[in-house]
Amino acid sequence: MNKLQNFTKGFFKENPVLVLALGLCPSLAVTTSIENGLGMGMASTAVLVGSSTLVSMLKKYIPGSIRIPIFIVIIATFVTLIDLTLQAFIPSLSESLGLFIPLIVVNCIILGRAEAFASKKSVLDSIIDAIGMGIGFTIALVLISAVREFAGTGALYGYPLFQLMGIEGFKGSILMILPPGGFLTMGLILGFMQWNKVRKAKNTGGK
Amino acid sequence: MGNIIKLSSILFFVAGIAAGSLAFYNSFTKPEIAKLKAENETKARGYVLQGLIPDDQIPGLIYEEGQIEINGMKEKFWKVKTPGSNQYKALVFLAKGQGFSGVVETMVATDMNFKINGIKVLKHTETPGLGAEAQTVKYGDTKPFFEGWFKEKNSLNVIVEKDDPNSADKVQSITGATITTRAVCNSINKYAELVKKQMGAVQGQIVIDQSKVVSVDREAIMKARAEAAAKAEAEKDTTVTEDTPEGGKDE
Repeated sequence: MNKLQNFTKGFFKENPVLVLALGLCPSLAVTTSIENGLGMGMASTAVLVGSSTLVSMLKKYIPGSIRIPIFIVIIATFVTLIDLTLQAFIPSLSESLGLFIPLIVVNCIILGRAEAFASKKSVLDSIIDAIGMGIGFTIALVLISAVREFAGTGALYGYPLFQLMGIEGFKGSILMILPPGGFLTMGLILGFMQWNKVRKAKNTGGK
Repeated sequence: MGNIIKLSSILFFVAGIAAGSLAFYNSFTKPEIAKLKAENETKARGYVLQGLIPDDQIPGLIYEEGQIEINGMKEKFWKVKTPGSNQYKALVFLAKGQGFSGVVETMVATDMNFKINGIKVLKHTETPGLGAEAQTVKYGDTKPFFEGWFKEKNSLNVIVEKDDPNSADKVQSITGATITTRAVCNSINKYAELVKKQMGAVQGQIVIDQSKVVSVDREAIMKARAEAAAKAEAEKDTTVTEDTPEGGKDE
């Protein structure tokens, strides 16, 4: 696998949420608007890059039997750094993501990448993998939140499309913004990804 | 045994480094965060005073701190006056109440007769699309629509329309978010009552026009409401079909 493949695999082929089914909890919780999804995706990417780099650098010195607690400590440290940074310098984002920032600690994408990738590969590869996976996570969050925000409120990224086009009276379905909407949207997107994969496999098999 | 000690000390060492670096970084961000918080508070106080006090006087206002005790905790409220004047012009307090999924914090400004001038929901963790509408600015508006509902209401007695349709100080509830609206109303009542008590205690220094302060016996209202609910319950028992609450989920 070359560097480019390593970078882009996280986008769709091995997308952490849509294919690997990791980090589903934040994907359901914060995806009520694109702004939240994007913010969460970027914050997670920052933590992912930081922790993957450090884990990869320290992999020789971390004893195997206590690697998980050490990973968690490293991740928690980065999350707290990001949390403090947001609170001090980007208060608006910190307000809207609030509770979900500390929850990045237990986001299994980050621990998963540290365990499955960073603790085995070189520092450069780990950074590339982390950025790619982070972007993939962000893509998934934005995709889910776009569907939910549009169906739930008729807006995209806070812009009420129908009103901008002069169509009055559109009322979103509150269901889509509440947790059931998250499950429905994610289920449909996951289903579509699988269907697409099977279809592709059939096509190539036929040739 | 030796292995356990070795592993523990490594973990201890790692955690120590992590804690150290966080403490170091915290020393940079702490003053920033405190500054932002103070700025936001001042901004919010000025915001809720708009209309009661001319805009050009708002930045120079003097906020005199007062204290109220709520559930054993000491909280601040502010007596507002303009420079060079001994008369208080307004009262400002930060009302906190339990909403649907967390504490809702509302900055409230009232005149000296406890009539609400403006409110602003500062902090909440309510569901987007429902309770979070309290902060939503409708497209084309400049202020959240929710805030306007409270203008001119009596802070001691503001109540959700559903709870008391006959009150002069009723406030509509946000669609699907009665609990959030009720939390805001109740917290305003509670804090206003305490501020009023506190102001009464130092009455030598300030003038409250007691004739204009209408305090309503909330307990009597609550009791009447409970009786009405019990009556409705009794009637329901006689019918076979059970009513489902309208709209299903109500926050």
